[in-house]
Order: sequence, then structure tokens, then C-alpha cells
Amino acid sequence: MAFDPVLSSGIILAYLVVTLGIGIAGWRISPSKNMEDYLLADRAVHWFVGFFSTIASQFSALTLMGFVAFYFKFGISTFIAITGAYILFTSGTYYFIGPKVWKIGRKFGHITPSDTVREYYDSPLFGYIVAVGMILALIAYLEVQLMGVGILLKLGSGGVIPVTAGAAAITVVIAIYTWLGGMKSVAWVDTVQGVMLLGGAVIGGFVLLFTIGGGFGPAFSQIASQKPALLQVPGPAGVWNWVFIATFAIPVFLGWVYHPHMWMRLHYFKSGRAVENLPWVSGGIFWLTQIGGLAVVLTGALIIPDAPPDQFILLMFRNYFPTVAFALVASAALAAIMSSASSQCHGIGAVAARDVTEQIWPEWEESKHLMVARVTMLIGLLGAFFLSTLGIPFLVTSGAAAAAISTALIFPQVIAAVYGWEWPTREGAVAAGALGLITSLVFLLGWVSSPFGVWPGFWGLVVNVVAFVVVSSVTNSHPEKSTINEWQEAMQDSTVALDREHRENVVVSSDD
Amino acid sequence: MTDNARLGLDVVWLVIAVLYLGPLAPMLANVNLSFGNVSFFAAWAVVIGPLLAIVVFGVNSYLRIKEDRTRTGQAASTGGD
Repeated sequence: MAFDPVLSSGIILAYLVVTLGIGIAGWRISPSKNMEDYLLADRAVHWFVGFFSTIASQFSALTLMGFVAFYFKFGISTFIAITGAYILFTSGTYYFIGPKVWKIGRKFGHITPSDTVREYYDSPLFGYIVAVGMILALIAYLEVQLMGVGILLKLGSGGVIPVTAGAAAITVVIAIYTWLGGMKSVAWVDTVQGVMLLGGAVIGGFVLLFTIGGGFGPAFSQIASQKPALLQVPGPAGVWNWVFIATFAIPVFLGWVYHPHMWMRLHYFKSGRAVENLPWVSGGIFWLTQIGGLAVVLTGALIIPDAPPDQFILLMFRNYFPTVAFALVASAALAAIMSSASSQCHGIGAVAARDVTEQIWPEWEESKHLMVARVTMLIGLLGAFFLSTLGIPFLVTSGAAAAAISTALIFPQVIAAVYGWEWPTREGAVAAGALGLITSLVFLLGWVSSPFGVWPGFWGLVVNVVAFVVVSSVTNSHPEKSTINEWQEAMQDSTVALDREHRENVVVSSDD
Repeated sequence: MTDNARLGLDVVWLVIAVLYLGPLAPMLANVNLSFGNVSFFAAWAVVIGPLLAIVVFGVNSYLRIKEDRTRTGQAASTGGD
């Protein structure tokens, strides 16, 4: 179909204005009163907004463009390594620890991942190591989002909107609403964007599959006869064998929840029952969006086999949809990018204020810490914008690395804390986290090549687990019995009782 | 939710993980069945495996929320909530 770049650009720009309006409305209706309000929307987020904000924060440039690029290039192996692994490990993390983390956070006022490990292992040092590692991981991840903006504007506006100027405008819009409204504005905007993304991916994908591809059966048959490697392991390139799939999937999708912006979303729900429902809701919505993406691959893998992988889905939509429908899908992709970027820069601000300045200068007035959160959020966003102008060849690289770094830094330590294990020690937690971080960076930056056909980001997790066990077995600073007991007792409380107790404490402290 | 129910669901999750991308995954890749035009392996990787895991999570959520309601009710009846 004929593509009208001016009309498409107009729709994308109108979408940006609407987004800014929603973000500002979120701030105007209820301006942030304090740190907890700015970072967690006062722990009072409604389940519907909570679900869509959580999901939209995870669905990023990777979801529509990056992951679909992998299915297009490497086939069903990567659907297993990404979609299946997300459901098993990311939704699985919500299943195993989500409600426990919500209860501990409600009882003891936790916000970031550092809060959890710092308190359990009584180690400010470990809190700082985790904070620094998480900021590094988040900036790399944020940069991926802004690179996605470049690709999207190039295709979405047909060159009418200059890429750098467009990406700068989007950065400014994100900065304004995140600065003003914090979590409230971010969550409101995320909700609209999450709904748009889900609709765009699922409806767009299935419309293409049934109008152009002839439906699931015929599309599968054609791929099976003409490009059979796409439906087999290890896929056309021969890279994605079972060892590679498992060693990619485990660290990347276990780590997704430990990013500060995702961890904070475990704490912001008003109702603990919403957190109980998060595993199947997050898994179900992710599966639906990726089935939409796979539908586009089944339709288009034989039509435009030489398309650049990370532009494939947008090219399919642009070639076969009327301009208005394409622009709406492009806006949905932009929505995915903006919702992740705003959540990530907000997460960077949260870590800087909560895990650094509040720990070093607890005597500061709260307004000062709040300013630190806002300024660091802005610095992180602008830093990622400038990094994105340098360019990286493949969209998924930094996002996967960021998640693997989180896993290598903190995974076994958090599990031990949430399950109340007594055997780990402070020295074990700190040494393992630091070694895991260093190992991850060494392998992911390519300074050492990964042996045995294993994905490089896997080694950080291996080193962390081994060091955690070995160092803990020869040292003695175990977690306090009182801390373990208090945490385990909190997990036995009903969610309603915990929320009520939290609200009463907030009222008492404001009266003071 | 009893400890046995929780353990049972955890075991089902583990079995799905092992079959989906663990050591037993290659075995399923070699199953020679099909659903119409779609091979068993493609159906398992794209639809059956992921949906089974989602169902496990759904059952778990249902049981835990039911248990939470019971706890809230007990606390209220003893004056604790």
C-alpha cells in the first residue's frame, strides 16, 4: 500500500503530545509529596494500572523490534529462548518470590533490590556494589531503547522527522513527565502505552497472518517446505543449539525482575493479591504479544527474506497496512520504547537517592534526596541518549547483557534472603556479588571468549553461585536470627493486614 | 494452600522447564507427530509449553488468594484484623 510519510509523522507527533498530556495530568492530579510517593506512587497503585505499567516497563524496543528480529533471523529456537524462557523464568520469579517480596517491602519499607540484600546481610558495602552494578546495567539497557527510537522514526516518518531531532524530542518528553510526576506519571503513561502495545502487536500480527499469510496452517506449511531450519533447533545459522539456548535464557530471564525499575513494581501495588496474580498475567500478556510478532514472521519470512532483522516487523506493517494503521502500530512500538525508557531512568534516580545518598547522608532533608533522584534520572536519560547516537549493531545485545549482569550480581543472594536461609554469610554475599559482576563484564565485553558453546553472560551467574557457597562455608557472619524470623513472620501475614498496618504507620509518622 | 499443593505446583513447573529447555528438550524436538500442518515440536514450543506454565501460575494464584482470604477472615474473627 502507498505510504504517506507526512500523515504517518503527524500521527506519531500527535501521539507524543498525548503522552506528554497524560504524564502531566498524572502529576497535576496528585503531585508527589515525598520520596515514597515519587518512587512508588505511595504504594497505592491500582491493580489494572499496576499490571499494565509492569508489563509496559518490560516491553521495550526489544519486544516488537528486537525479539521479532531474532525470530525472523534464527527461527523457533529463539522463540524458546525468549518467549518460553520469559514465561518460565521471569513470570516464574514472580511466582516464586513476588508475593514474599511485596510482603517484606510493605512491612519494612523496602524500595530497591539493594534494600533487600543490605538489610538481610547487614552490609552497606553490598548495597553500594549492587547500586553501582544496577546503574551500569540500566544505562546500557536505556541506551538500547533510544537506539530503537532512531530505527522507528526512520521507518515511521519516512525521513520527514530527522532521527536525531526526533529522538531528542522524545527524550525531552520522557524527562518532563518523569521529573514532574515520578512513578504516578510513569505508571499512567505506561498503562495507556501497554494497552496500545498489546493491541498493536496482537491485532496487527494476526491481521497480517490471516490476510496475507493465509492463516497459521498454510503459513507454517510454506515455511516448513521452503525454510525448514526456521522451525528447528539450532535454526538457520546453527548457533542456537540447546546449550546456547539454556545458557542464554537462564541468566537473561532470571535477571529481568531484579532491575530496579521492575523490582520497584513489586512494591507499588496497593493490593498484595494483585502481586499474587502477576505471574500468569505477565506470562499471558507477553505470550500474546510475541505470538503477534511470530505471526508477522510466519507471514513475511518468505516475502522479504533480506530485510534488516530489526526493521523487519515495521517494514511488514508499512508495506501492507494503510498509513493510519501503520502509524498507530508505529506509535505502539514507540509506546513500548518510551514506557521502558521512562521506567529505567526513574529506576536510576531511585537507586541513586535511596541506595547512595540516603545511606551516606541520612540526616539530609527528604527534599534533597528527592532532588537527587530527579537530577540523576535526568543525567541517566541524557547519558543514554548520547550513547545511543554512537550506535550498536544489534538491538538485543545490551538488553540481554543488562539482565545477565543483574542475575550475576544478586540472584542467589536474594533467593537466600527471601527464603530465610541461614547458611550464607555477609562475606559470601559481598564476594560472590562482586565476582559475579566482574566475571559478567569480562565475558560480555569479549575480553575472554566463552568456552563449551555457552553464552558469555552465563558465567557471571555460575561464579556468583560457586563463590556464594564456598565463601559462606568458610566465614561466620550469618544473618541475624531476629531478621530471619521477622521476615518469615511477615510472609505469614495476610496481605490485607499488612497493607492496613503500613497505612497506619504512615499516618502515625505524618502526625509526628 | 497446603504445603503439598505448593510443592506439587513447583514440581510441575520444574518438569515443564526441563522438558522445554532443559536436558529433555531435544527428546521432544524429535517427536514425529503433527497437528494438521503444524509439527508437534512447533506446537509444543510455541503454544503448549508456554500455556502449561501459565496455567500452573494461574492455579497457584487462585489457591494463594483463597488462602489469603481465609487468613484475613481468621484475623478479623479473632479481633486481629
